Order: sequence, then structure tokens, then C-alpha cells
Amino acid sequence: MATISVDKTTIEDKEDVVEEFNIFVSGVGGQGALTAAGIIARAAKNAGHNVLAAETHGMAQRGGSVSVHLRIGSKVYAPLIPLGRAHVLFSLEPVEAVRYIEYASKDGVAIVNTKPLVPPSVNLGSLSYPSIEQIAEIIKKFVDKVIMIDAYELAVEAGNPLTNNVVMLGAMSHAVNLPITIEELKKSIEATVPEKAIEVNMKAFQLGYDYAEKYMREL
Amino acid sequence: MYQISQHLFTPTNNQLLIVMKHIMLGNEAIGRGFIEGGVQVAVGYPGTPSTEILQYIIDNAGEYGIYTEWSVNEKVAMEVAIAGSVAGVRSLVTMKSVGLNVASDPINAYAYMGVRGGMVIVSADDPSCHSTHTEQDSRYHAKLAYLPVFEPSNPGEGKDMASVAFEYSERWEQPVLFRTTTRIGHSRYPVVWKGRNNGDRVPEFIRDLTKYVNLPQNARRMRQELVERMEKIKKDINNLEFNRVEGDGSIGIVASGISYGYVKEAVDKLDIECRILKISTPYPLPEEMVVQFLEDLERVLVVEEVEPIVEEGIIKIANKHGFSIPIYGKEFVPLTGELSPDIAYNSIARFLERPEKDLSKFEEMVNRISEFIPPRPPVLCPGCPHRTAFYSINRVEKKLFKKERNIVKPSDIGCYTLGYQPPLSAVDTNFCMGASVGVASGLSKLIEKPVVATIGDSTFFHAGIPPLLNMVFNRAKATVIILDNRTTAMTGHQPHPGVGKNVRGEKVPPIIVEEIVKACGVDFVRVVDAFDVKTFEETLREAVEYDGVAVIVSKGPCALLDVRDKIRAGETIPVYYVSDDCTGCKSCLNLGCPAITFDEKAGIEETLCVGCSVCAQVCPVNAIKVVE
Repeated sequence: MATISVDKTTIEDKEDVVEEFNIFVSGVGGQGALTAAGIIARAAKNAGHNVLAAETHGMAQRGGSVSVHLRIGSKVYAPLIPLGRAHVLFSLEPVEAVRYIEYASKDGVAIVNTKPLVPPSVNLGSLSYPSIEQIAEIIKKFVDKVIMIDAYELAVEAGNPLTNNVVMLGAMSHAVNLPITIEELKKSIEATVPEKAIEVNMKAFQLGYDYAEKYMREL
Repeated sequence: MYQISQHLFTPTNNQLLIVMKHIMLGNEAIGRGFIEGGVQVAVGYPGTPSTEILQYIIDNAGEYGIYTEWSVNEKVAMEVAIAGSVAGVRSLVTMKSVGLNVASDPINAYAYMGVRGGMVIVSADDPSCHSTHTEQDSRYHAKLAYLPVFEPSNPGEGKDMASVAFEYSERWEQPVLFRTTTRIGHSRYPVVWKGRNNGDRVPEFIRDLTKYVNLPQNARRMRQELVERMEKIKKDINNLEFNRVEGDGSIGIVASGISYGYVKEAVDKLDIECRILKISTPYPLPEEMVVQFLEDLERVLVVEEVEPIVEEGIIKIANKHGFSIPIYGKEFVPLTGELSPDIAYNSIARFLERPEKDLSKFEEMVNRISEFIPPRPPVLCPGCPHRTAFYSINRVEKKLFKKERNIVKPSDIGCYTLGYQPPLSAVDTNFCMGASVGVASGLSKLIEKPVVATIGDSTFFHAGIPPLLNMVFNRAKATVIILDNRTTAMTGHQPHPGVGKNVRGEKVPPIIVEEIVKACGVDFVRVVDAFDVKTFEETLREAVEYDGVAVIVSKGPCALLDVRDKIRAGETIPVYYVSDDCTGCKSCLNLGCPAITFDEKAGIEETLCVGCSVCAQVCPVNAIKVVE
């Protein structure tokens, strides 16, 4: 727990050893992108880091594209991630990973849910939704390490499709060298989700973790 | 980085504290700051990006006995807050930037009088227009009304400034304008909590005719006193700890509000020696501090979002004190849109004639990729009760005019502005709260084409009633559809007078929309079920052909609330599917429902469908059925 002892004259605050670590979270309104980012932010704070997370609210949430600029570290002063400097691109929807690809760092990691949500405009026929293979190919051009994960299916397996964001957190905890431990992430999930949903979320987290482990081994 | 300030000590224990940081949304942190600062009256009208400030106070009001309300509009909210201040208690009103326009009449009036209880007006600006129709800079409004402006550089400072704002307002008897922006209000940040002060006064009205009645004989004196108060504030603002000078060098950079974070980061990455003036009170500026800052500098850049308010102020002070150094601002910093670390970096790099970060490759990337992926603008939710209205407008138009788009369709501020998106495309104009009715009133007097306006219930209560009276009064001939979903949906479901329960949980008689409409003198008033497509269309056709003011009240609950309530009550939600009878005619696609998919034949995404049945009603071959 990040506590600071304070008396009238001295303030002792542990210097944050992490200078700058950026996670770009994206998805579609209603998918749980804000919740996922909130879980990471809380865990980072509890790990003693400075945190700043800029969210999308309001009108944009109505089925629109949603993004969170999550920044951790002592050299972070401003709420938005500079272009090309996201260590992690964390997307709950495949096209929404491509939409923000300019934020990803070449030597970073992309974790992308493969379950597409097709916008209504596509059904009208004027636009097309690219295939998952095409999407993976594009992301790989810009990011060295890419993990494509069917988080929806794993969430269903865990017992609730709404836990797909937590499946992704589990995958990230294995695939990325985070400045936050797995225990801290799990504690943050427990503190965020309703009590009756803790078990299913823990299962979802583990399924995501195991998937990433297997995926990385095969790479 | 958050600095631990001296305000950290609670009055009961200033020896040793173990202080824990809480990660909070900026708006919640600011709400917390007002609670700590002793707010006793907290009111407002919801509007992104301001809403969560008051919502946080409402959620914690009981514990502290704070009077809270979501008022009918910002003007009324301001007047309720004025009442609190007049009664001697610390009073807060919150709104978004454009709400400030609505509240500006009472704001300007009260600024003349001198506050009793501390008075703070929060205006949340939205550079880059994330969810607002203008980028307007509230700091100009503050200059208009002589309000000192507090503008935090991050959510943590926002919390601290909020608790100091009341004290400041009381010391100088002037309302304080507290300006936030989207990136302050909607960023999560670790903050330190402290105790509450000054929150236990007994409100009392003390009669003071020369203070509170602004007849010309009093107003002229008030104006003189206002100018004198402002002179005192200009001197004292130098002592406010939120403004400060950091670092040294011959280059000076002034950073206002959130720009400070962007400047710090850019200076760090550019690795330059410079003197930074951090400004958290853009109006009035701390003149003495600015003079100290300018001493021995060779050139200065002012970095701020939107308007050059600090820039103009610095130039004026420099001129007055005989500094002849170049002072730049909007020559290097964009006038439009919010800042970002990259934009701030390049603005400063250009100012210093250093190499800029090459953003062209990113622009190229964005351009190439945008051709490859479909856009995803916000749309009406699956099961949204507003969908039928827009669909029906299009159907009636088609029946009356074949392919010509001959119905003029003014709309208004709320979820239903999304009726703009294709395939519905049934929003022709959108100006400000209530304008759909006013514009319909005017247009119908001038053009022959039928006019059909759409407005939500909360917006109707906010600013739609006077223009409806105007329509009747001036014999307009137009249709107004009032979309009554019994909530203020877009901003997160705040209650309004039609709901029957206020934010304090008190049961109140619900104001019935159609009764108000009748009382306004409208003869043609029809109430229709928002999910009955056939009746809706028939009623709308009748309304469009009616010679006079016609109002249709469309009743249907917000799908988000309705589904949540049904799940809580243990009800099952019907899910629809598309049977083999589908001919692929695409009629259902005209609804623009995100739950409907199409691949040669229609399909329904069952995780999104909430069972509203509208698509089943419009299917010409009855191919859409309930999953048994």
C-alpha cells in the first residue's frame, strides 16, 4: 500500500522507480474498457506508482469507439500518451486495435481480442469489416509482439462473457513485463468487481494467463 | 506530479498522519475537494465533462448534510446556489461550458453584489469538442463577470484548489469560477484526502435591500464596489500557492492549467534549461509574480489551450513594467483543439528552433489505416426508444414526397442527436438546448416544407417550454416530437421533473409532459408508445398534415435503464432471431440497430439484442421472431 508518513516538516515519498510506462486501452462502449483500465490503474497505485489515466466518457460511449490513455511512472506529468510510445496496446475489439495503432511502440506488445463487433455502417454495404487475419497482419507491421486472443470464448468458458476484459488482463499479466505484480492485479480485480462475481473473474484471469503462456511458447 | 501541500493536515490532528492515496476520477476528486472545503449547497445541471463532480457530492451528501439537487437547468441551478450563498453557506453550482451561457444572466447579476457564503461556479470546458458543440473558453466569461478563475493543472491539484476556492470567495466576497477541462475531469489520479472544514453553518436570510436589489441606484454603486474588489483580488492572487515559478534560464515558458503537465514533459524530453511560470489563476494573473518571472528573460512562450487569455495578460503586464522582450503564444501553440504531449513538444521545439518530432509518419499511418477500417461513431443503442421516431419521420417523408428529402428536421441536445447517423439521417439541425422547438417555430413561418422537430424530455423541461409557447403564441405550423424516456440519458441517467423522484430520494408528483404541452395551448397532442411502429407512423402523418402546432409525446423507457431494471427484477428479456423466411430485403437495416447484422440475409447479435421488437414489426415477411 502506498502510504506516506507525514509530519509538519518532512514528507517521505518513495521515488517511483518506473519513469514512464504507457498502456493504451481501447474497445467499444459497453465492453468494459474503462473497467479494465481502472483495474490496472488501481493496481499500479497500490504498487506505489504515479498513475494518470485519461478516459472517454459521455456521448462517445454509446456504442462508439472508447479509449483510455493509461500512464504510469515518475516522469509522467500529462494525461495523454505521445504517439508511438504505448508499451502495450490492449484492445477489446480487433478493429479498435488498428484504429489506435499510431500510439503503439514498435518494440511494445499488442494484446487483441479477436471477437469482432461489426458497426451498423458496415451492414449497409458501403464499408467492409476486414478479416481477423488482415487485422493481425497490419498490427504485426507496427508492433513486434502481437497476441491475438479469443477473449470472448474464454470468458464464456469462465462462466460470463462480460469477463472478456479480465481474460485480457490475465493474458497481459503473462505477456508483458508490467511494473505491477500479478497478485496486485488480482487484488485490484477483487476490489473492483461485485463480490459474487469474484470467482468467475478469477477464473477468467487464469484462462487468459494460461492462453498467453501457451501462445508465447508456440511463438 | 502531485505535490503534498500544507493543506494536508486535518484540524484535529496535525502532528503525524499516515496518508493514503486514493485513485479517483478527476471530477470525483474535485467533488471531494468541495466537500472538504465545506460545501453545504451543491446543485447543477448534468453535462459532460462536468457531471461526476456533483454526482460524487450527491453520493456522499447524506454523511455531511449537504443540500444537493439536479436542477431543471443551469440558470435555475445558479439561482438556487445564489440563494445558498445569500443565506451564508458555502454554495456550489456545476455545469458544462455551454451551460455557463444559460446561467450567465444570474452569474453576472450576483457578481455585482458580493457573496456572503462562499460561491463557486464550476464550468467544464471541452477543448477538441469530445462531447460539446463548441470549444468555448469559460475564462472569457469570467472576465466578463469579474470572476477570479481557478484552473487546476491536474486532478490532485483540482481537489486542493476546490477546497480553497470557497475560502477565497469568502475572503474577497466574489464568486470564483472553477474551470476544468475534459482531461482534468476524466483522468484518474492518486489523491490524498483530508478532513472537512466549515460545513456546519446554519443558513439564514438577512434582509439587506441595498445589497440584493440591483435597481439602477444600487447597481451603479455595486459596479464601483465590484471594480474595487477586483483590484484587491489582483494584489492578493500573488499569495496563492498554486501559482509559482520553477527552474531558471534565459528562456521563459508560461503554462496555464493542464498545459503545465504537457510543458513539464516536453521540457524534460527536450532537456532544456528554462524558467517555468505555472499559472493556476489565469484571471487575474499574479502581477508581481509575473514581473519576477520576466526579469532577465530573453524570450517567452505562453502555452495554453484554446484562447490566448494568459498570453494577453502577460503581454499587458510586460508592457506596463517596461519589458521589451518578445512574448509569444498562439504563434506556436494551436488555437484549436486540446494539447497533447506531442503538440506541446513541437510548439516549444519550434519556439526554440530545435528539431520537431516528426508526426507526419503517424499522420500517414492514420490516413492509410482509416481507409482500411470502418468508422465507429456513437449510435443509438439497441432497443433505444428514439429509433422509432426517426424511422417514422423517414417513412412519412417517403410516403409524402417519394425520394425527395422534403421534411425539415431540427433536433436537439441529447442521445437523440445520434439520429444524425446513417441510415436514420433524420437530424438536419442541432444548435443548443431547446433550439429544435425555437427553430421549428421560426422555420414554419418562413417555408412551405413541413417541419418536424425532435427533443428529449429533460431538454424539453430545460429549455423547450418557452419556444413551444412561442409556437402557439405566433401561430406556427410544425410538429414537435417529445422523446419521453423518463431520464436524462446521455449524461448518465439523472432524474428530472418528469420522473417522480428527486435526487434526494423524495417522492414528488411527476410532471406529465403532455399536460404541460396542453397547458401551453397546443390542441393537437398525441401520446404514442415508442415501440408501436405502425401507430407512430400513422400519428406522425396526421401531425404533419395538421394545420397548426402538433405535438407527439413518444413514451418508452431508456433501454439501458429498462434492461437493468428487468434483470434486477428477475424478468427474462426476449431475444429475437431471424428465421429462414428472410428474403434479404434489408428493410430492418433502415433502423440502424447495432444488434442487426447482415450477410446475404439479416441476423441478430444476441449479446446486443434487448428484445424491443421494432425490427420484427418492420420486417415485411415476418421473418424476425422471438427465441422461444
